[in-house]
Amino acid sequence: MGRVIRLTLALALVAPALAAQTIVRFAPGVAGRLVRLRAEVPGETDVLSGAAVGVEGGLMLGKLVQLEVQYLQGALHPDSGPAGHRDLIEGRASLGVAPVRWFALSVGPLVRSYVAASGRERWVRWEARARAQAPLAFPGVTGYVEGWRVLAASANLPGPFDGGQGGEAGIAARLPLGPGWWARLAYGVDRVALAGRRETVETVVLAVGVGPR
Amino acid sequence: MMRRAGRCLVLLGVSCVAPLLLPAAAAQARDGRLRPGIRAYEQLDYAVAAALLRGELAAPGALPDSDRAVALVYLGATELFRGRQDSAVAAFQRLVLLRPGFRPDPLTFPPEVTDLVRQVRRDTRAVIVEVPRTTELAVGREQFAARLVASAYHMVQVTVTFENGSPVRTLYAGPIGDSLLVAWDGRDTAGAVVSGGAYWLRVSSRTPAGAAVRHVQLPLTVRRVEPDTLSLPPPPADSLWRRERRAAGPALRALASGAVVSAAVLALPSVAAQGSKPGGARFAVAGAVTLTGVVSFLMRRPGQLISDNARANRDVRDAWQRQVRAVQLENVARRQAVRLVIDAGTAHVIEADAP
Repeated sequence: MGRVIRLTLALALVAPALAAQTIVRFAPGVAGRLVRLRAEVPGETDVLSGAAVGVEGGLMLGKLVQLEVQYLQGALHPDSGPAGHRDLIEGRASLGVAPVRWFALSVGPLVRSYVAASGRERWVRWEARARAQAPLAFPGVTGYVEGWRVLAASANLPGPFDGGQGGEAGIAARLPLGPGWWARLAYGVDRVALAGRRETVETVVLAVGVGPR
Repeated sequence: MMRRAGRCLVLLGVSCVAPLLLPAAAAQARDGRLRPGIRAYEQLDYAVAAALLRGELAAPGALPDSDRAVALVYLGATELFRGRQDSAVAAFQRLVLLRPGFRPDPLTFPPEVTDLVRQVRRDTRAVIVEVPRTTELAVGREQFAARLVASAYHMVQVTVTFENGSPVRTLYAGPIGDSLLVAWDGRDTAGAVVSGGAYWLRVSSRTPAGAAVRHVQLPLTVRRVEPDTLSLPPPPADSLWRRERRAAGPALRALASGAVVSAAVLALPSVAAQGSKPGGARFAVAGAVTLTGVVSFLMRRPGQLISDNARANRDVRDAWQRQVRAVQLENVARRQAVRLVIDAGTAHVIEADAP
């Protein structure tokens, strides 16, 4: 947790200078997430939920290319099932293009780890994402829908990867805190399947940041 | 009336009558058609002179006025020396009516003749009107001028009338000496510029008691030359007007976008994670998105006044109306700058007792 706070403070310090650049624009933010994990194996279902915080950032190279990074960590507590407490650590990076202002495509890796007393479960997967956004008439408010498909995945679990997909939808709004400040509220869900094991993660995201969105 | 006619320029006591004296005209007449009659007068053959002069005056192919005046003065003198006083007076009256300012040359005619001519001039009260054939004047800046030449001091009234005789404007009423300059500005008694048409310039000679004895009428044809006026500026182009009321489109798009995103939030578990028994958090997000769409709709609801656009339209409208008013004022000024073209005809004399 301390690492997240330090990283957030560092980004907040350098963000205004980077965001002022017109060619390379940087949009850092801090995000809080409510996470609900549903892990299913034949005959057993564990449901865990908790909160995670993290940082995220976008680096726009001109109007076409954009790089997004995300890091979060939190703790999940069991709601039902025999599973115990887990820590969640997740990092994601994606490189994308936005051929038009309202649509973007990206691809990149996501690494997600669940750390429990019994050991660490780690997923590495490559995702292809598509995102569409449209302004609402309310000034500075944009609605967006994003979907992704897991192209490949590996985990330190037995069995072959069976597939995965997910999506996120929500709104982003400019904040009256100053130029470039924004907030985002979204709901996302994704699922991966591995040899009869299914893991579904639902998240409610509330993020605040500065820079172009 | 006299004060109102103050525009008239009275030139009383003008003594520049020298050009009206006989010698030059008489010298020409001696070499022309009148030569036999004048020679007979000079040879004291009055009967022959009277016959010849009367013949020339009555002959077809009218004599020019200058020769006619010479013929009449010689005829009057001839009749006087023949002892026919009445005929002499009649000849001199015709002379005075023709040339009120005419004076016989005292070197050519004896005092009996010049005295009788002077007496006839004094008793006849004749006036002639001299005007340019065509006068073009800018109303308000220029005037139509008529010069009256009188046989003797008497009272006159100068009036512009319609063709039917009803008065348009009295230009002058008062005494006249040898000559008088009268001006007309092209307006009627009310001050309005006269319309085009036929008018008379009427000069009435009066006795001291005010009775009219003779009228000289000069036909005037008046044409108005209206200046071109500017056309009013066209209303601002449609492209300059901004929408003053919000259209339904943006508001409905906001509502629809909110609904679509909200539906996406609700549908995501079914699409991406079938059978996952999702939690209820998505309803809160969907509700927030829907609420945002509704607020957006209300903030841009159809028919709402867009004050910035209304102000911009008012500026456009005011600018156009200022241009219209400027053109209207310019046109008023142009309409007042009417020009009149006045063509004068040939004057004729009406005796007061004539019908």
